[in-house]
Amino acid sequence: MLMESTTIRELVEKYWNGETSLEEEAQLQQYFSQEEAPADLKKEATLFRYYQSNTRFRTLDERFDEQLTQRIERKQSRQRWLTYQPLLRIAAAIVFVVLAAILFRTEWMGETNSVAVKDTYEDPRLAYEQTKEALLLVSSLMNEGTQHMQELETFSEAQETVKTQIP
Amino acid sequence: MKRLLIIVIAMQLVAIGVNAQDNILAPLFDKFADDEDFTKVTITSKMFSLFTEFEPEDPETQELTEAISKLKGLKILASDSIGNARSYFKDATAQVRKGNMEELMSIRDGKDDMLFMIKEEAGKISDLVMLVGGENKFVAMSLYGEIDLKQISKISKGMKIDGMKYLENIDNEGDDQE
Repeated sequence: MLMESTTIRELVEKYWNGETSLEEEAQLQQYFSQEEAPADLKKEATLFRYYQSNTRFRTLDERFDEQLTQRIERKQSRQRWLTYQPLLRIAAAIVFVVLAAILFRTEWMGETNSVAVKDTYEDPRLAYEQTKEALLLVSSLMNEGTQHMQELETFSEAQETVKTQIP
Repeated sequence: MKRLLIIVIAMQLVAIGVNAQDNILAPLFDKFADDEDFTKVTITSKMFSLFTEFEPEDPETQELTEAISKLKGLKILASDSIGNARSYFKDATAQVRKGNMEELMSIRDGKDDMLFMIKEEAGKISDLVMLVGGENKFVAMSLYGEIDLKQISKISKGMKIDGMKYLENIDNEGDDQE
């Protein structure tokens, strides 16, 4: 081919800029399929030779339609699921509200319950007396307990002395 | 959205858990809330705050007054006329031991069992639970606030009181005052 390498270079540049017409591309292809490309155009040469050898880029595959419809369908089914999302949101909101209500109720009921049960006495004096008695009870029971322990202690002390005294 | 929901639920569960830990005897009190056989006494911190108004300046009961002034709450559940008191005691003991309290002492005196549990924080006792179980009596008491065991022990030292005998009259004395 007599095409000059400078023209080719221009065409290549146009090609990379996406400005070539189909004819010009055909020209390029032809050039690269026949001529030994200069060193700096090696990359393009490989590319165009590949285009030439591979007709797949020209014609649509038989399975193209099938694959396309499949993809569309897949997308649609996802969309169908998406249409349920508002419902899911509502369900989540309901669950949330119900949970909150249950919690609030138990909290609140607990409060009111304990307000009702809370103070057994309305008169602080009676409450005071009861507290006094309760403390007295705790105190005396505790002392009884410690007394037992002291008894045990003296017992074990006695045991110790017995042990040390009788070799 | 989902993550938020999970977080909120987790927070609610935590809140419930914290709530449940509030008082270790609370489940017991709830259980017997409507049981006529039990005497239930609850005194809240609000009531305790009112006590300061009429604290008697009696030197003999000074320890007692001081001990009371540091308390924030009191709960008593008592009965001296139930058949299966021992099983109540066992249940309550198991319940209390499950909590994060330490055992102060457990005493068996004849037919009576006693268990003292405390919760200690930074060297101060903030909770005291006392359980008493006998043949047909059961007492669960929970004290909270600041508890000084030495002080409490001193309260009854001046007065000669037999705790167990005293306990048998706790219901009646409570009734007298009402």
